[in-house]
Amino acid sequence: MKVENTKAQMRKGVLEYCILSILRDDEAYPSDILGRLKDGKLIVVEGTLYPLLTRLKNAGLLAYRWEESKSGPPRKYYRLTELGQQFTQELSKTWTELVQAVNTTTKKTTKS
Amino acid sequence: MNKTVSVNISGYIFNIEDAAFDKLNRYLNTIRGYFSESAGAEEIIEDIEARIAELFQERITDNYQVIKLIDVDEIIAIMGEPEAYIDEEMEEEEVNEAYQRSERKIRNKYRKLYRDPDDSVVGGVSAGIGHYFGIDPIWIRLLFIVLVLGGGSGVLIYIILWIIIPQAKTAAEKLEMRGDPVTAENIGRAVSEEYSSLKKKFTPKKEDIKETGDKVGNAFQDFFGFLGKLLHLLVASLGKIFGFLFVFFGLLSIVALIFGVMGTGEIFNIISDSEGLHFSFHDLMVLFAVSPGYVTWVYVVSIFVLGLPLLAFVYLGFGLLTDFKLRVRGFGLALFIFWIGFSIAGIALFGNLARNYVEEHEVKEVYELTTVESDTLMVDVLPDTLFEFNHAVRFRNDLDFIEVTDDHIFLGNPLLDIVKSNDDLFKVTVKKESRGSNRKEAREFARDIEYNFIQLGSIISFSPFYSLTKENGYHFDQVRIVLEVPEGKAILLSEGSERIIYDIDNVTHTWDRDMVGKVWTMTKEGLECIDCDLEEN
Repeated sequence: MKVENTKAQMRKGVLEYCILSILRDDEAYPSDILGRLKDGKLIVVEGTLYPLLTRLKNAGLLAYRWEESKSGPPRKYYRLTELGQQFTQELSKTWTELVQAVNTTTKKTTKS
Repeated sequence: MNKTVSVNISGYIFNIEDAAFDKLNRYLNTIRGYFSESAGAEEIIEDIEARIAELFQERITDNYQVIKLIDVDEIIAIMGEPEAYIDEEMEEEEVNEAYQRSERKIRNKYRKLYRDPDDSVVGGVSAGIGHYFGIDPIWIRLLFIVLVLGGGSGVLIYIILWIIIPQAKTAAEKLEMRGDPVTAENIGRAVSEEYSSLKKKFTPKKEDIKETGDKVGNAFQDFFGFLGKLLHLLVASLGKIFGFLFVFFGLLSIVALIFGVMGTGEIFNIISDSEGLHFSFHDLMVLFAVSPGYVTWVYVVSIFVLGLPLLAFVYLGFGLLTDFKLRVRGFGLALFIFWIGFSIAGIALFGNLARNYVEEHEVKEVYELTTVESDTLMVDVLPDTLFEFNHAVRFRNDLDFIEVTDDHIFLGNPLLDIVKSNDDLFKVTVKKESRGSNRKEAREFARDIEYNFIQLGSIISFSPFYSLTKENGYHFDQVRIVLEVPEGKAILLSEGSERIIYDIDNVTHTWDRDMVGKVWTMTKEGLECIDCDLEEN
């Protein structure tokens, strides 16, 4: 068992939640989303993002609209759908619980 | 100076250097391979292409208009290696399967046949073939050794393969040879591997922990090192010699072809006897009575059908002789299609001609010889005024003589058979056979065949030839004669009859030519010789 794999899996698990959270406040285009994810060191390369966005969109959590761009092809601006909003709230709750759970569990183990 | 190509990415035109294009294209194809199984693959690819177009667009200024390899590298660094695209949320197994399948697809797609200079014993041919089929080269080597020991054809095959298979020189070519996808990462790895193997080569002591096969290879490599170089030199000069021969004979054949078809040339010498009647293309056309228009078509088609491969041959020779290469894309393909077209036309022409001969018909004429005076009939052949020059042309097994006059075509020989008559009369049956596009035509042609024989007292003389009108033309006409001899009567075969008698059954199974000059009596069992008992049993 490689530590790299486990790390990647942990990161991947929260990636969806992070993307949805970024879109909760305002619509965004992949480069913007990417910028924020990069700041958080959740993603290193852009390529990872595109399949993810497409899957979330196909699941009905995201929708997009086209907007003309001065510097290239038209851009897709993603936003949360009704379903996406609920989904994100659900995740948010789970996340808070999870953080608490993890914290308590790990504290105990480190003490003993 | 570098060649550029222009590409359309997401509706934007970019000028991109050749090498950079190759890399980008491979990159996108690899990604496409990963997604080929999943839903929304097209959309993902479109998104990626749109982003790449945007990144390119950011780079281009008035002073910087061409996308270079370094730009592509930077963009791949931003976007990530193809592996980064795998969305692990897809069913784990599905991903694995899709990944493996695409991996296999890529491996097969990009695997190319090269000679491997790094793992070579003689010329790296076996190693290259081994890589190509994904098997250990030792098996290929064993196969070559078996071929060399068992007849020596292995040497020739090896040398030919050595000439035609290019050596893998660059790192990219080596990756293609092994079937690894050509990514920046792989190239880097390949180069460092090469470096370490080079280092190994220059270390004085060879105590590597390498496989036994490689060890044997190394020992052989030393042994063959000099021999290999010598052989390579030989191969190179052999190429030149072949090149020269190709060009020389190719051009010669083309000239011969043009003269042969167009002129009164004698390309059909092959069918004529050494005696020397020569039939040209034109003569054959007359013989078969085809229209002048048809003849023209045959000329054109045969020149192209035979000439184009010869031209390719000459071109190949030039290629071997010099480094001359025609840099016109699709030229070879165009010529090939052209050639196929003419070949089809040739087949159609031939089919059209063949239609004139589909039906066969035979006309029988029976003559009863009521005026034979003695019990022995002498079988003779009429004096041969027409064929006294012996224009022998072996055109078909049973057609030995052809002569064309102003209005007739004379053919020889008729074939004479002798059988038992079912009553007490000598009888002659003349069977005239011809072909035509339908039964009626075949019958008419058969009827038009002229054939003569004369019976005077106890001598019957057959003509050594039969004739057709030139207007009708040759339709594989044939005349067979059957002479019926009643039981108890005899025949004498004259010396001259040798040329027309054909496979006559007799009691002693004597050959036709040994039957000549003797008297044969028809018995209940068949023909029996009376006066030859003295010589043979």
